[in-house]
Amino acid sequence: MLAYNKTQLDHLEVVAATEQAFKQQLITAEEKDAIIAAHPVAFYTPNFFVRLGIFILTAIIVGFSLGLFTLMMVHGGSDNAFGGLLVFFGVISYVGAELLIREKHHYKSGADDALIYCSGICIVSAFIMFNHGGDSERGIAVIVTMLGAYFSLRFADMLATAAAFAGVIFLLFSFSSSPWLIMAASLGIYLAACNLKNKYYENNAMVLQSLSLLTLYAAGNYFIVREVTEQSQQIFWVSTVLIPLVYLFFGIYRKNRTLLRSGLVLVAAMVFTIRYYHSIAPLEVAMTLAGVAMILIAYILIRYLKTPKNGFTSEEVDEDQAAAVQLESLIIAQTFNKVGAPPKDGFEFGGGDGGGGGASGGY
Amino acid sequence: MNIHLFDKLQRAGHLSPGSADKLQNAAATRLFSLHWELKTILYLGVLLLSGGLGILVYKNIDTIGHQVILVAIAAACAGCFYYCYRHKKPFTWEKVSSPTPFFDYILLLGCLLFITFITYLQGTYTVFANHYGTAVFIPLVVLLFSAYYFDHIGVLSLAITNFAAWLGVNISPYALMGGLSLNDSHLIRTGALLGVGVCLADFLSNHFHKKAHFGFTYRNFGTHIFLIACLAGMFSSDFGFTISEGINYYFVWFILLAAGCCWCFRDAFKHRSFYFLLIVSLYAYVAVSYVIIRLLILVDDIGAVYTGFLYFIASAIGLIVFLVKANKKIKHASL
Repeated sequence: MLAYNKTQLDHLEVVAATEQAFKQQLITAEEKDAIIAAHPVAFYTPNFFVRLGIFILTAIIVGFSLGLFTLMMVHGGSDNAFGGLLVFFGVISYVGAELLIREKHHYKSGADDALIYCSGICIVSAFIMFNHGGDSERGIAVIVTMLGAYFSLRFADMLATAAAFAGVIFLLFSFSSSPWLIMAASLGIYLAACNLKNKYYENNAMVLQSLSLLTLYAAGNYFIVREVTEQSQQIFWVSTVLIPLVYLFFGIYRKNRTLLRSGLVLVAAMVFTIRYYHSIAPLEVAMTLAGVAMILIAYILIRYLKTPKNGFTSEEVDEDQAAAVQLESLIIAQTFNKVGAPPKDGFEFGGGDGGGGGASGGY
Repeated sequence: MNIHLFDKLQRAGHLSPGSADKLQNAAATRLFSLHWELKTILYLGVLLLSGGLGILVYKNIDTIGHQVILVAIAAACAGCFYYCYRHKKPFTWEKVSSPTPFFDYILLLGCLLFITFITYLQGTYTVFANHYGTAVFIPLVVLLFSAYYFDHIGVLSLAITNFAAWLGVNISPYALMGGLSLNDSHLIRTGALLGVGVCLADFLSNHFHKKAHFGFTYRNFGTHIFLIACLAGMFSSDFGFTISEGINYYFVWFILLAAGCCWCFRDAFKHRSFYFLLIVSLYAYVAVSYVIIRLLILVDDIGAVYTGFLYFIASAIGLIVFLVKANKKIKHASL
């Protein structure tokens, strides 16, 4: 089912693990070289930034080709003709991706993912075109789910998995807005994803786990239930408060990062929900106290885990963090740059419309 | 680490018994790191605390009294800097790793409180009279000093954005993405000069080996500011913001941008940086496409539209080929 060569994927895994082990000085350089020589990888996988560039440019190529064809048949064209063109482009993009993978051994090169996404978008748009924007939300959801599932299986693509998941949840929701149904479905998908032991689909399983944990909480959140079903059911306060804590508990107990991080994010959601209905203190007091509490908790935990306890540590395990530090500095520059910006006469900076968006500025 | 994978490798005879033991040991004693989770909590705590205090002060000015607030902020700020001073490692011009994970955030909090302090002082007592620039300049000096003295890249980024704000340009990453809010020719020129200046700071850091690891931050801000200013210069010549009335200067900006891109390309290859290679390629691509479209608009014919579409398809293919070739050329990439 998988488009990529499995032997090659195995080799890639071995090489990555070997380089990691060599970096941690667990194996010698000779051993590393011997293992890498014994596991040749023929995949074409460029550097991340080159991949990003190729992705953007491939999307530009597909977009402008589509534009060119549309322009040529604009005389006497109808919605159906345009829909047909979209289907044609969807198929061409898909075949292109398959050929790149089979003949040129592309693996996450930017071109293959861009073509897959373009293909999916074209086919879904074509479906919308054929329906003339009629009442076809369920139909679109079915198409998205099917395409997403197929692309997930065929290319192990994470975004496709997310799209398929969203399609399934939307379909369920469109038939019944009962929170219990969505919660049960999410739990089922989560457990199924946990038991998915195929190593080629590890990342897809992780996406499914994270998303189903989030929808499981969202479906049982008091605020969301009240807004959607327009009746207040006190029972959902229990799930609003308990689910994040359960996630956190199991995340720590089983050392599961997905559960732990979902739990941390959802504790914030829990606090917001409670505050929305039962505001104890004004916003600024709550912010200040929460800030102090968070700093204290982090401080205590960092101090406590400085020497590892029960297999937990507050130190970093992977040393390669140059990119993370740079990213962090950008976040700091963004989030704190409004602090203390003094009022200054004659300098009013609106959100300028100077088209940083690119070439489209020329039309 | 996947121990089954290494078992298999050992059976294939790729690993010596010593290494296999080491691997077994490492797998058995592997730790679950909460590093980034705790750091995120700390960061959010600092964000909430500084934000909450800001609003608190703003709302209660009438009841608490200015002196009390000022003293409280000053005390907290001094406490932060005292903690940093006590815990810091000795200063060198090389990279200094932070002594504790906590250190970075305390320093950040101290710097933010200092900015609040100065702003408050100016807002209430107008200490600096009408010299608004001074009220920005003092925190700027403190930020820059703290960045170098305590070796903190986040504070350095804050210093750069504050410096730009002092000159009147908003260069927070989000504003940069939205086109730098450069909407008059004065700001565009300021932005371009600022970009060159910040790039120069990168060059000097590397040349004199003074905190050379700050280079990336300078280069990142500088390149984006300069190239966006050039693009803004080109685009705005359409809307009547010409530098001097009646003359269309967009080509001058294009030449400047081309020169900047050439220099940045050389730099990117020197630093083996794919990141800069990509962003400079994209800026250059947008600029060239803009010039081509302007020329095509002059033709005023349906053929020109077709040519435009064909140009985009062909040029994108060309740029892909360039990126792929560059990828082969640069080995052992860094950021």
